[in-house]
Amino acid sequence: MNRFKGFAIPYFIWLIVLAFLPIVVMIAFTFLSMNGSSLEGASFSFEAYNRLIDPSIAKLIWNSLIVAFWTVFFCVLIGYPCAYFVSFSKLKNKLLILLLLILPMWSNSMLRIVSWLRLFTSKYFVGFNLAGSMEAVIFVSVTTYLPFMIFPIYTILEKLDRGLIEASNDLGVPKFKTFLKVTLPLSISGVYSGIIMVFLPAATGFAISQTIGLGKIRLIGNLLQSVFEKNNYNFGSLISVLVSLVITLVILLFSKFNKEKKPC
Amino acid sequence: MGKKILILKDIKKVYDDKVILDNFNLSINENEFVTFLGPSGCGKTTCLRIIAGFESMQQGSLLLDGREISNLPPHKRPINTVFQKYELFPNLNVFDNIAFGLRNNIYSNVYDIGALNLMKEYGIDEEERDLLNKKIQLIEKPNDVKKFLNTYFMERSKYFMAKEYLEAFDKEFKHLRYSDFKDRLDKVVNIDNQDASYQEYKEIVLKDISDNDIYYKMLIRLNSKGFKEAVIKEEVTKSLKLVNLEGYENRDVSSLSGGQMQRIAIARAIVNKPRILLLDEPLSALDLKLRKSMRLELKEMQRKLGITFIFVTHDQEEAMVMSDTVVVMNNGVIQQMGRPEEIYNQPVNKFVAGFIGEANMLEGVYSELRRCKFLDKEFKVSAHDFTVNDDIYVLIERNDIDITDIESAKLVGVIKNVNFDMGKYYVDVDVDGTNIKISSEEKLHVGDKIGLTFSAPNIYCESLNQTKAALLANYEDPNIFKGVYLGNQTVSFMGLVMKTYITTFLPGEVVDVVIRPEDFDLVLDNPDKAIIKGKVIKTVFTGVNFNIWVDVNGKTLLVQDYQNVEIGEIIGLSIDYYEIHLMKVEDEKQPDYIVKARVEARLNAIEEANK
Repeated sequence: MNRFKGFAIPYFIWLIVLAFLPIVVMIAFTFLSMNGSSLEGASFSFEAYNRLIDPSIAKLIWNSLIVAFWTVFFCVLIGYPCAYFVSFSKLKNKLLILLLLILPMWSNSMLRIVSWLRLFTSKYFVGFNLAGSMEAVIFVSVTTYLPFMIFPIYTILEKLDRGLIEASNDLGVPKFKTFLKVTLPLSISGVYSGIIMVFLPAATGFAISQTIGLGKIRLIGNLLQSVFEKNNYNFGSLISVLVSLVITLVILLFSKFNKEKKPC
Repeated sequence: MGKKILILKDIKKVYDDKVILDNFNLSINENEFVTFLGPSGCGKTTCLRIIAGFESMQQGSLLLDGREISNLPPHKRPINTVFQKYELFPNLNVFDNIAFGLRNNIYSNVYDIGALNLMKEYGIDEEERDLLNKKIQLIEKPNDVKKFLNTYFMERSKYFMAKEYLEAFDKEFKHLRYSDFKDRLDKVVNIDNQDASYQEYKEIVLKDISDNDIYYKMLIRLNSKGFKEAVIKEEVTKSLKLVNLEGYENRDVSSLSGGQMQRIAIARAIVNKPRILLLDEPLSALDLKLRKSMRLELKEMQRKLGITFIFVTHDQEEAMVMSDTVVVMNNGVIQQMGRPEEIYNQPVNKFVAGFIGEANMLEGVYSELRRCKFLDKEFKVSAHDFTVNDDIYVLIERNDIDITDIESAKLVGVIKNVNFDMGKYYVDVDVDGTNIKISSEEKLHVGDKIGLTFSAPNIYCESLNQTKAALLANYEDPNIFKGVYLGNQTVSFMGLVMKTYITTFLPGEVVDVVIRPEDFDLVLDNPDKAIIKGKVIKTVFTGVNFNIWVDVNGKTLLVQDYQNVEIGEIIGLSIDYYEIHLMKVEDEKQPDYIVKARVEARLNAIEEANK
């Protein structure tokens, strides 16, 4: 293995240049009062931190978490059965079926978001006029991020040894209980990775809330976008750091709960 | 003994236009070790999966204890399987794996097991336990079992009777005098304190009864918190003990070796007390040495548990060593079915002969510790659990025999026949009149003289007597009599002194004498000259032959013959000495000096071996 250690070097350089350094710079920016991203005439200041007191920022983070929560919830609700039935079906080319199921995702995501907006605002669909509501944002988030939930679950289910299900039936355990006691505990890791993969973009994205929300639904992503658009690197960096912290915290909490819950 | 537990009738299974099983008829006895033997693709595993309920069939019926089960899903069949790949749940530890069935199955048979265990613990006799068990079996909904047990214990509890009685008395108290009440209660319990007030008296009575009332105690235990888990723990511990893996409860399944996983898989199945245990090539994933020792253990386990085992294998040696009955299959059709020796000695067709013929099966004698005599020569063997002079049979696989030069070889034979197949030569060698099968990479010529050799671990020994006894135990209505071994190959039973082929018992030892009904020959023309003489009590035509019950010196013998005799007729019976089988009787039924002599003989053998 040691002979191939060298292959990891490019990734390390990548990590340092494109991940570690930017974070350091970003944290440094939070303490600087400056004009755009230029360091000329920059001075040390806590100005950005003072602006954090604004309760609207907490409100935006809370909104983002709410949207992300419901998106994750519906993705699990729709994604698990979908992955389950495709994986346990006797179809020959299951992967192709799965790809067809998520056919709409093959088009550009911005295009899809705009299409949903057209549908929501169309005069032909009265009663479907949801544009500008939280529900619509969550709905479009779910349609956008569903594949990220289905695929990890499907992969885990495909690897699940079908003999274990037979063994459970053989031991006198009926089908549904077998699902609860064998299939679900053994595929829950797929659900967990799906949850993280959906939660992250759903909590930080801005395109959906901006387009579908018609500017009425504002998430933390929208704030970030507008701040950086105004060239305010100082405050923008601080919000970015804050969002990263909140998300890390949520994931830590989630994985702690994950570990404590012992499968039985 | 001999009761049919599973009947497979006219089973047909077709998959993708390919016939997997055809006209498959088989009946399996209770407490039998049955092996399905055949090459891969012969339908043996499919048959097992049909019995378990994982596969459907196009035609036929499957009767378990006389009840049709082919429409039941696997979880409703009282049959458990040990899978080839074990299929242990990776997310659970050893304990939870074994407890899985008890915790989650639809029978919820934890309360009945627990109640029966409790009754045994409190010394309630077997008769009552059996009766209760039968009643529980009739309950359809598992949730009703606990309710039923509660009522059962309450009805028999003196405490509850007394309490009911006192409550009834409390209602009528106004009309009765205290002394009346005392008189009545004194009949139930003795109380010293004659001056006690009514309330005190009541308490004393109830306390006294509850202290001595075992049904009340069992009732409390049954309803105590954690009773279910305690029963599960007890059962899991018991089954772990049976597979010799005590103390492994908290181990992670992934930390176990193949052999240990195998044992856990067996424990997980038998803890549910199935009617039938199915084993799908469970030894094939183990290495050779482990496989050989597991064979003996499985057989021993089956004997201890008294559960019917159906074992699937492609290894004919495995089948020969373990089974009571071997079912040889090919292309979905039963080729032959019978006892191992029967199949080995009288194969019905070329396929059976070829398939079984991979091993050499020879009769021999265990001459001293780790030594055994067969083909008139003495060989070193690794088996050590026989007594000196035990009759054994020896199995040596074709591939385990090597060719050496004539001078140094113990066995020398002449090549009779050479067949070439799949890059190997299959050779029959005649050694002093016995046919030995070997295989060789080099070409050998018919008529050449060669020397043969094999190493000790490759010689597999099995007790001949024990196998025969095991076979007979499965036989319907065998004649079993208590007898005494007189020494010098003679045995006395039913007032007769007869010769037998067995030499392994001590003079004076009590033995069971077993004679199969069809082994008797009728002597009709001159009964007085026959060895055994008796009067016919009853005859029944079975459809094939006649069952004849004969009274000999006041004891009844069952004889089977193709000709009928008159009731009341005096007939003679003859029997060949090699058809009189003797079985060991447990030590506690033996005279003391026999037990002592047995122990001494064993110690001497060990001592000599150590020298």
